[in-house]
Amino acid sequence: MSDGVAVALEPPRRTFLNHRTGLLGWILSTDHKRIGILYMTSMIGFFCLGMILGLMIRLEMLTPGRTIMSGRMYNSVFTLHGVTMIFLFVIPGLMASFGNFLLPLHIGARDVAFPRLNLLSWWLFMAGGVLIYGSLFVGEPMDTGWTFYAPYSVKTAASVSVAGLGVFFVGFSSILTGLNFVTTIHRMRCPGMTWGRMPLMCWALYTTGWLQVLATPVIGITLIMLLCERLLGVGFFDPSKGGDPILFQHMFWIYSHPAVYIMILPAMGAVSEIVPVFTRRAIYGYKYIAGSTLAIAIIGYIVWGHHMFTSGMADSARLVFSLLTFFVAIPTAIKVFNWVATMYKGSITLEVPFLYALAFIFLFMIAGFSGVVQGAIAADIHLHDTTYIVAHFHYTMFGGTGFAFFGALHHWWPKMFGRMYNRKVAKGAWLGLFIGFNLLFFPLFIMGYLGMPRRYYDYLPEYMRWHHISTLGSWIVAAGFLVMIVNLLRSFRSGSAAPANPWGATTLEWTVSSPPPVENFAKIPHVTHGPYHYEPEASG
Amino acid sequence: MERELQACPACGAGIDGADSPDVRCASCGKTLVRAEGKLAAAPDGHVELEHHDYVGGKIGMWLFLFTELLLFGGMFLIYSIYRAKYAKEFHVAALELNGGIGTLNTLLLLTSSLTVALAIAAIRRGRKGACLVYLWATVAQGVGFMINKYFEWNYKFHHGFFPWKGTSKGLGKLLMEAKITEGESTFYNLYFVMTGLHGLHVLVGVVLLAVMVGFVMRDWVRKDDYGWLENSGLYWHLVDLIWIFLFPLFYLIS
Amino acid sequence: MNLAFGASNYADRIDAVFWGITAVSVVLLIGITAAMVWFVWRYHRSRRPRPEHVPDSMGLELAWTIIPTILVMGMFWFGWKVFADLRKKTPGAMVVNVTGSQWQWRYMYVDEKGQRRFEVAPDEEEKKGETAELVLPLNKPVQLNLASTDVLHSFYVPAFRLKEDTVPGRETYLAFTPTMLGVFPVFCAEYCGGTGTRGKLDGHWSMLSAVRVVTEEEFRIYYESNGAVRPWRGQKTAALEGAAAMPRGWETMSRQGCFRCHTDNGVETKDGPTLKGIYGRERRVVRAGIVATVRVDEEYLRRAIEHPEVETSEVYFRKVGPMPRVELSESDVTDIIRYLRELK
Repeated sequence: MSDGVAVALEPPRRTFLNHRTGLLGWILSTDHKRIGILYMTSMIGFFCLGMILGLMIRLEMLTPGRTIMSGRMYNSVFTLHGVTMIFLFVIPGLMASFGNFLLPLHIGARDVAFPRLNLLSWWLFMAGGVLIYGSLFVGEPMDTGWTFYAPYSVKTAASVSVAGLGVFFVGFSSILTGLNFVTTIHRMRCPGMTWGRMPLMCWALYTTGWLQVLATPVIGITLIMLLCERLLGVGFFDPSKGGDPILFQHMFWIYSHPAVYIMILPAMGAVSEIVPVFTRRAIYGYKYIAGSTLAIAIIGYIVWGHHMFTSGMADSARLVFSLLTFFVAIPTAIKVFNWVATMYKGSITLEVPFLYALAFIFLFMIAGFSGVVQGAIAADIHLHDTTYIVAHFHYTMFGGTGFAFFGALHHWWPKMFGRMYNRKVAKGAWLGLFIGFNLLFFPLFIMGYLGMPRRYYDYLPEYMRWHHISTLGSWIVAAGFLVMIVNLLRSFRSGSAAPANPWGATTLEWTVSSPPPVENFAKIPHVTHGPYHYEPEASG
Repeated sequence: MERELQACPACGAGIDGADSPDVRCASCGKTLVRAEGKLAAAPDGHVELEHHDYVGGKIGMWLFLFTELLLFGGMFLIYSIYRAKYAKEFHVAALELNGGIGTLNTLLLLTSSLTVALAIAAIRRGRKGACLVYLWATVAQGVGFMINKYFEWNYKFHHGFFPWKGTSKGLGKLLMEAKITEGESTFYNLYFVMTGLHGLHVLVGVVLLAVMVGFVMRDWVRKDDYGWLENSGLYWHLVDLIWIFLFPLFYLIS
Repeated sequence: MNLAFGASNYADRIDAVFWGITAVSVVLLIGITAAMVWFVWRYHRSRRPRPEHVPDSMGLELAWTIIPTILVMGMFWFGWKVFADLRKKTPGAMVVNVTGSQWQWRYMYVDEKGQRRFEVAPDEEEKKGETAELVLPLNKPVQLNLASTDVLHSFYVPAFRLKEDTVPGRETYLAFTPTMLGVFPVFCAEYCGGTGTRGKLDGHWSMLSAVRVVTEEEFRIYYESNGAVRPWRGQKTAALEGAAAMPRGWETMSRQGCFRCHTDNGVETKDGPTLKGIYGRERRVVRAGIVATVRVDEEYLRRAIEHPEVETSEVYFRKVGPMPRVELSESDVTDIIRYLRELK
């Protein structure tokens, strides 16, 4: 494979990157590629903030009792860490960033169905981010945890209302992206791009779009009611006014569990793109992966109650939710089996994106298996609200979505910016992130089993050695992340120019130059075969 | 899904001949207009492409309406749970609501749904004047609804069911002071929040339709391009539909 | 403290679910990862420059759909069976009402009719120089009725492998049997805020308490003395050696409920003086309205037990008035006096 060297000098080409300059040219652009990159950079910015907060949490946990901050501040730090990472990083996730950049390129279109609406969703997203962080400056910083559980969130003096409004904005932005993508996929596929020929990323985006449309309004109305409760004093969730706090949990998780799949499905889509490229094989079981994506979304919509196994809800409800929860494991397993089967008899190169994909599969398996353990209701009675849960969802959200995000970043970086990064350094950063990540979060599984509850400022000294390992891991992760970002940024100065198709991939975005021209395709392509056309002799 | 396939007169590529006034050629990006069943290239610079995918706009609007329904769906869910819990109190509390104003508002919204539909029918036939009259009528009825709502709420405030004045944690507090039971207070909480949220939607709808009046006057909405008006009409129907559910749930259960 | 102990009748079964599913998971994880690593090595481009086409296989897809389905249904059943059992209440179980509030746990012992007997609360225990713990008898079914006064909390005993949220406005419960002697930490597992201003009880993390599982006999003494006597303490009472070695005087006092107001461990309650070391001490008493100083000897003790209204300790006279009179036989009084002489 070409190493990105020796590209003939040619006069500067007009690309989406250089056709307009200046900040306004970006933040007012309706070009899906620019909006994708806007999302990507702002999300990485929020990720850095969230990471700093995460490092503060780990540092505080280094010793029992006070290490660097007060208990009140600790509550705000982990709340803000959660809100940032959930609502400002993984919910928009690969959907808004890479999805925006890729979707029209993948289906052979010039843009999404509603470009101006697309820009509006980015603005709403940023407004949400500003409100969430702005809430720090109006009254006490919020301290409810990202779940906003009533009645604490109703009673606390902290500025929950402003932050809640911010989350509402982010949700609105998410809805607009979802309906935009669904419409785009229905209306704008190029000639020959049948449903069965769409890259799996598009299937993931399509499914996620529906989830966003179907689930997000519920959190919207829940937050509106919470705001009414705080500002007008009505009593929907506060039992002292005739409300029911468990109702809040139901309403919250009706959205927030599907939201888990909003976070992970596009990540799985990206992995489904990366795996065939570096194994040189058509993805194994295309139909089954696409189908399992839909199945995850459908089942994932009705399992929210497994967040509430110890909430005091009716035992019969716990039975049903436990049963359904196990069903959601199956389509996930199907995906993993198909990815691994794609490697069988392939021709594999260990490029950086593929390393991230491998890490994703491994870490996500741990996440999935620990999820199955908690799905067994008896085990969850013990593990619920301990650091075991914290470990589980960091394995899904960071080990899953996070690693897929980094993998996608390395995979499509040459396409986005027309530059190759230093691959050796990138592999070093990958190793740091992988090792650091496991050191950071695996001890939480152990502590969780030993009973360490989550969101604890102080702890029994028995847990200390595990906290030490975890905190050490957090530093390695931060270092790996820093190396990764610096390496990518350095490519602007010292990276070689990227050819149109550095990885030898077959989906449509690699048929246009890197970076792509403003209008994507000079002539709209006419598709005659499936997306992973590595084995021409076998295609049917 | 089989669709009629036609050739683009500009570049010859095959085109989805969807049943819409405007079509866009996917290959060359030209906007085409349908004339006597055949496609012809629209004058250049006539419209921007992406804003004129008629079917796409419809899909997007329906998806949006769907999210609105789910938004209210969440409230209806809460309503039904509390109604099951406080069945008796809900009946008692509903007695306080003014069925007359409620009925009047229902009639207003139903008629306004009709007039907005007539406005769309008029513009499709090219009758701009009639369309404007119907639109104005719709806006007027929307405003009438809000005025009624104002009097209704005002009356409630005066009777102490809503306490804005003085206290920031008012509603719950005053309802308690009025010696209303928990169930009744929950009923009023739901009443104010749900009809309030609906009122907000009426307000948005009225503004949207007023903007449409401007669009029609400037011929941005016209015989062969009425997607905006149709989607605004859809939104107005949704506002109406939600009220059709709210009305019996609050006014007719006494 | 070994935190991995399983100390309730469900702990072993819950551990079995946990470790059973974990074992299956680890086997699968290692298997799949090994396959992945093997493929990466075996089919690396240096060894295999061109990929080989492998057609999709319906059979294979079905296999890895159906086998995991069976597997997870088994896991579900396994987890559900145990859960269904642990939600069963045992009739006649001892009931303790547990109340969570920001930021402490209170335990109220109730009698068979659900009437309050006594309560253990951290702030009050602290005044007495004690720590509040939930004392439970070994191998006796217990039912904890959980409630909250403000926001959500969750009563969590890792050693029992059990937790349940306490929800304001409704009652939840845990029903189990402690199966191991010892002291086990209690946590709040549902985030409930924290100010960091109240010193010890200042947040979610400081709703730290303990369950002490004691022998049935020790518990009986504790319960009948309304929480005043803690026989596991190695206290001067002969409680530690068990009932057989207990002086008859102590037994009588315990039976008559004397320990509802008095203690035998030096702790003064609001209702009566401690009896520890009382013998031989000088006391100021109120006799017919006049304060006098007397030495506590056999004579005095006999007067104080048989006619408590005649002479009352000055301090307690003001607080609660004289001790109520208790009908005792001559030999009972003698036993008590002998016991108090020894209570140094």
